[in-house]
Amino acid sequence: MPSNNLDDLFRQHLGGHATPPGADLQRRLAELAEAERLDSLFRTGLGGHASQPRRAVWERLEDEHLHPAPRRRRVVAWWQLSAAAVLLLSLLAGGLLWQSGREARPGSGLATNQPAGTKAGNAPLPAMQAATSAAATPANDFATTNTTEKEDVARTSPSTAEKLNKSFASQATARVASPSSTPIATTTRAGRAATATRAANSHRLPRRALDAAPGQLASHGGRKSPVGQPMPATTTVAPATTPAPSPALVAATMTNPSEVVEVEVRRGPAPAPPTVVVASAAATEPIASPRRRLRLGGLLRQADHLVHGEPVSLTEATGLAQTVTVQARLGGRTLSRTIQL
Amino acid sequence: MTEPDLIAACLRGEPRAQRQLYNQFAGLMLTVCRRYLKRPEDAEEALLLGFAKVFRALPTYRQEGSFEGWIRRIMVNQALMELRRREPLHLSFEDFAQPENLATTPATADTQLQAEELLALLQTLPTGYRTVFNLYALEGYSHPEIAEALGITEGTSKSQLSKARALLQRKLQGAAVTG
Repeated sequence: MPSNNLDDLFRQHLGGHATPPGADLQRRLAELAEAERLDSLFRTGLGGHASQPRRAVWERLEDEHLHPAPRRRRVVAWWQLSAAAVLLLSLLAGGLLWQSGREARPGSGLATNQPAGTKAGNAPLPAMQAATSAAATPANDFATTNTTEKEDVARTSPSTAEKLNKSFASQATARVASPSSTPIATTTRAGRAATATRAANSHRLPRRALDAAPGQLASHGGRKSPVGQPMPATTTVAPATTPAPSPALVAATMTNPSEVVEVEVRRGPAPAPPTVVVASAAATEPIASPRRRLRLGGLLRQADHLVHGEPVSLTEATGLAQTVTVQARLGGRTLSRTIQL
Repeated sequence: MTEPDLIAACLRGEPRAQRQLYNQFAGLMLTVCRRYLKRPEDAEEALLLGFAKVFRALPTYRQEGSFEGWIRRIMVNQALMELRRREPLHLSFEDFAQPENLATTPATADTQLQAEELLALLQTLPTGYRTVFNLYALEGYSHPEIAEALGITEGTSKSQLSKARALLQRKLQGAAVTG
């Protein structure tokens, strides 16, 4: 057979013939096409997608990696801002405390001849301060025994004292007892002629002469005592260790059909009643301006403490005096004492 | 500002240029990080550290090829580093299922899926599957490169890719049915 005929034979039989691929090859090709579709789906779907990062990411990148130096400056600025804010708040709180302290004074209704906030031993008081000079002693020196007056009572009216002692022993009731109050005065006892009053705790307080204000207050039992009647009772007061925020701490009243003894202990100075003697009011006036100066100094001192990281005392910053006023009323007599703590 | 100008300004340390470069690429690169890391805070951490490397390595950029590609490669490396810390890979490269047991039904109704849905689908994959699929299908790495980057063999890379595709197809089919 000529070669041309052989070539024509194969060309004629195989030229238009199509061989179908095998099943295995078909499966592999389908998988490849499917994989490509899947990859393309994710590639196109996620290729241009942008997620918005939080702002904090850029701030951290800037502070921690790009510009670390401004971060230190920012910390310093933050510390200074914090210190300024604390100082401002302290001043505000001090002003409020000072304002509330001033507003609270006229309403308490207790007579005192000791100016509020008098520094211990610092302010010489004219006129009737001679009788109350012992008020400048610290609280732990506060006298609870009035021996002189007890002796007077023993001399003048021993029978009255005994009678009061019997009747008052179990009748002490708290007249004003706020829930937040810490009792300072624990008992009020009628004095005996031959016995000394015991201090409420180990702080033995020196004897002092309480001023008498005869006729200033009426007896609580509805019967007025004779003016100028000697005080038949003594007052035993424990020193204040944790004063309560309430101004009036304890007021103990002993009632008796014939005699009334009231002992009131309150925090802060006792404002002068309308009937207070002129000398007492005059004594408070010169003290006011030095206290303002002290308050300003205290503010500056506390600001310095704040800067140096030391504890800050608002009481010291505002200059508010921690005082306790003890007032005893017996019949027509009123004995009051303000103690600077 | 053109890209070379932007790069030059960043090299001079200009904050505005740095911010502009970040704003230009942060969104895209966060998506890259989210493809590898499940937790958003981990992805943002990778983004943060990745950009820190970008700015640090900017003087070494020769301006050959795509700048975005250069940044993307840094981000992928950072995401892989973060992944090693957060989700150890060796646990995820074990076989969770045999390829022959997985459905190979063609995904048909998947073209309508949005990018967030695709991201969610990716994040359902085991870490090994997800990582190899990301590197091969989306980043264009070869199996030898994946093996080197992840410290695995080429065969493991191919196997993980095959399983990942099969699992994705099955999930896509499920999503199409429920959708």
